[in-house]
Amino acid sequence: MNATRTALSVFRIVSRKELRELLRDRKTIFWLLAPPFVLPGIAIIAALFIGGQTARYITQGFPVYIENSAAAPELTDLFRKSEAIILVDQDKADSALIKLSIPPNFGAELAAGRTAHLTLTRRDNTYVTTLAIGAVRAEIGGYRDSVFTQRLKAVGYDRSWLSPVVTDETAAAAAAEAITSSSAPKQGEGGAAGYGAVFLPLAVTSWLIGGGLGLVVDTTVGEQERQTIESILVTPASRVGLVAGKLSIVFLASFFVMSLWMAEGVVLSLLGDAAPKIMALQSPSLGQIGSVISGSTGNLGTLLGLLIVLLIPFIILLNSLVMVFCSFAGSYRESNVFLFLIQLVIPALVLLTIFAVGPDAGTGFYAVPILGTIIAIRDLFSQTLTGGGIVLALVATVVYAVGGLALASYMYSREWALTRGI
Amino acid sequence: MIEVQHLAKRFRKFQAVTDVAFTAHDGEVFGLLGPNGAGKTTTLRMLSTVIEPDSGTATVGGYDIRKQKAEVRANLGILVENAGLYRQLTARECMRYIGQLHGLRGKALEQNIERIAVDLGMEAFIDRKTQGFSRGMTRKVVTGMALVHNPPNLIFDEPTAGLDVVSMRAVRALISRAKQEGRCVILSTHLMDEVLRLCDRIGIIHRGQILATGTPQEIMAANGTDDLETAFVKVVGERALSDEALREAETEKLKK
Repeated sequence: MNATRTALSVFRIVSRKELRELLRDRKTIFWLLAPPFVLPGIAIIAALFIGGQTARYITQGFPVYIENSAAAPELTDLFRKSEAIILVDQDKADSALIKLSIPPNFGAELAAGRTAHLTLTRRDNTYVTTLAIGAVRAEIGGYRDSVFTQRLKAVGYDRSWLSPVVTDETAAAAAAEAITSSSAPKQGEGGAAGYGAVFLPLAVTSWLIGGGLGLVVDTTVGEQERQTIESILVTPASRVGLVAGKLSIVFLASFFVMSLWMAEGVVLSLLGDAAPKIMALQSPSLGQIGSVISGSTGNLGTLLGLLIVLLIPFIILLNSLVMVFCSFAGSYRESNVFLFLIQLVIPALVLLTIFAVGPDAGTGFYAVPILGTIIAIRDLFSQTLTGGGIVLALVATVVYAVGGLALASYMYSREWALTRGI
Repeated sequence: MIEVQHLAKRFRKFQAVTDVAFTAHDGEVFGLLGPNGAGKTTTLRMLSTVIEPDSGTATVGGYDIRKQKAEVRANLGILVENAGLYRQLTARECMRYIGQLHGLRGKALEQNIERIAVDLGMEAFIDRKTQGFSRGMTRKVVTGMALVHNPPNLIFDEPTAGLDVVSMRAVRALISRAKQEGRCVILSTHLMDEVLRLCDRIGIIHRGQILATGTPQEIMAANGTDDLETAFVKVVGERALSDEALREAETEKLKK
C-alpha cells in the first residue's frame, strides 16, 4: 500500500468530492445563483416603477395648491408658467402633493423691505412628494432672486456686484464627450471605461455575498461542525493537497458567480453608455442601435481580460485568507464573528482605497498586498495603469496568492487548528 | 501490534493523559476501559496521529506515531466517537472518498466497499445520500470508512453506541472476524458485557493512567469478584467515578 499520497493526487480526489457536494447542494447553488439574477431584476423593476411614476409627474407637472394665491399674484404666475408644476384649485386641494400657504400680509412685508414668510405643507413623505417640494422650492427660489435683484436695483446696486469672482468648471470631458458624441469612442475614452469603477466593488461584493466566502467556511469549519474532519485526518493524505483541493472548488464557484455579476455589469454599462446616444437619434433603426452599442464597447474586451487576469489571483488570496481566519474557529457560530468582520472590513477597505489613494501613489503601490490590486484595477479602468504597473500588480498578486495558499496549508497542518471543536 | 510507551498529553493546565503504557498484540482484542474523561479518547487520538503527545511514544504496526505518521495512518483504521458524514454524498461515496485518500483505486476499492456493506448490513442504503441517516446508519457508514482500506490495526471508540441489537451484533461479529484474521484491535467501550464477549485483555485507565491490565478473568480475580463491573469500580474507586463528571466537563472546556 502506498503510504504517502502525493499532494496532486489528493488535490484531484478532494476537488472532485467538493465539486460533487457543491453541485448536489441545492440550497447553496440557489444562494450562489440567486443574487446575480434576482438583485439586478429587483433593481430594474424598482427603477422602472420609480421612473414611470416620476416620468408621469414630470410630464404632467407636480400638483400644487396655493392657498391665498391672491396675496402673491407674481409668485402665483410663476407657478402657473412652470412646466414642472400644475396648480390645482381649492376643490382639488386634497390631490395636491404640496400646499403653499401665503399669508395675507405677504405683499405688504415685501413692499416694506422685510422678510415675508411662506409655509409649505407636504401631503406625505414619499419620494414623489420630495421631488415635488424640490420643484416648488426652485420656483420660490427664482422668485426670491427676482425680488432680491429688484431690491438691489432700488438702492443702486447691480446683482453682479455681489459676485466679484465666478468659477466655471469643466471636466476633462473624455467620458462626457463620448456619451454625447455620435461617433465611436477613441481608445481610452468612454465605453465601459467610464463605468469601470463599478466593476471592482461589484466583483468584491459578489465574492462576499455569494461567491467564495460562505463556501470557504463550509469547507473548513463545516468539516469540524459535521465532525467529518477526523475521518480525513487519520488518512495519509497530504495536507497541502487537502487545502488546495478544497480551495480550488471554492475558487471556481467564486469565479463563476463573479463572472455572472461582471456580465451583468457589462450589459448595464453598455446600456448606460449607449442609451443617451440612442435617445438622441430620430426614430433609430435596429441597425443604428446595434451600431451605437457596438461603438460603445470601446476597448472593453482588453479591459475585461486584464481585469480577469488580476482578479484570479486576488480571489485566491482572499479565499486563502478567509481559510486562515476560519482555522481559528471551531464552529459556524465562532466563524460568524470572523465573517462579520470580513464583511465589514473588505468593502470599507475597497472604498477607502479607491477614494483615498491618489493617482500619484506611484507604481510601487501596486505591490502592496490586497490594496495594490484594488488600486491596479481602479487605474486599469481610469486608463492610467501602465504596462509596468500591470506586470508588477500581477506578479505581486500571484506571489501573495501563493503565500496565502501556503499560509492556509500551514494553519491546517497545526494540531490546535485541526482539533478545534472535535 | 500497537505498543504504547508512557504517553502523556496536557491541554493547557489540564493533564489529560499522564502515563499510559500497554501493548495490544496481533490477533487480539484489547479493551480500554475507563470512566468518562479518563483519557481514553485522547490516548486513541494520539495513536491515530491526530494529536501529538507531549512525551512518550507508541508504535502502530511497527511505525512510530511521532516520526512515521503517514505509515501509521496507512496501517490503522479508527472509528471515532461521534464522527459525522458528508450529507450530500451517498454512503458508498463517503467510503470511496476515504478509500481514495488512503490510496486505493478501482476494483480493489469497490470490492472492499461491497464486502463491508454486506458485513455491516448496509445494502439497503449504501447508494442513498447520507442526509437524514439515523445514528445507527451513520455509525455503520463511519465504521465502513474506518475499515475501507483494510488496515491491519483497528481502533474502535464506542463502536456500538446508538446501534440497535441487530446492528450491534453485526459490529461485534466484524470485530471478532478482525481478530480471527490476525488484526490487532483496540476497543474502547463502557459496556462490560461487550468487554467480556470480545476482549482478550483489558486495560483500565483512570486519570490519564493505566491502573490495571490483564485478561478480564485476571482483573476480576485480583479484585476478589466474579463480576467485571464490580472489579472495574474497585480499581478506579467509587468516589473517583463521581468526580469524573466534573473532570470531563473541565477537559472539554480546556480542549476548546
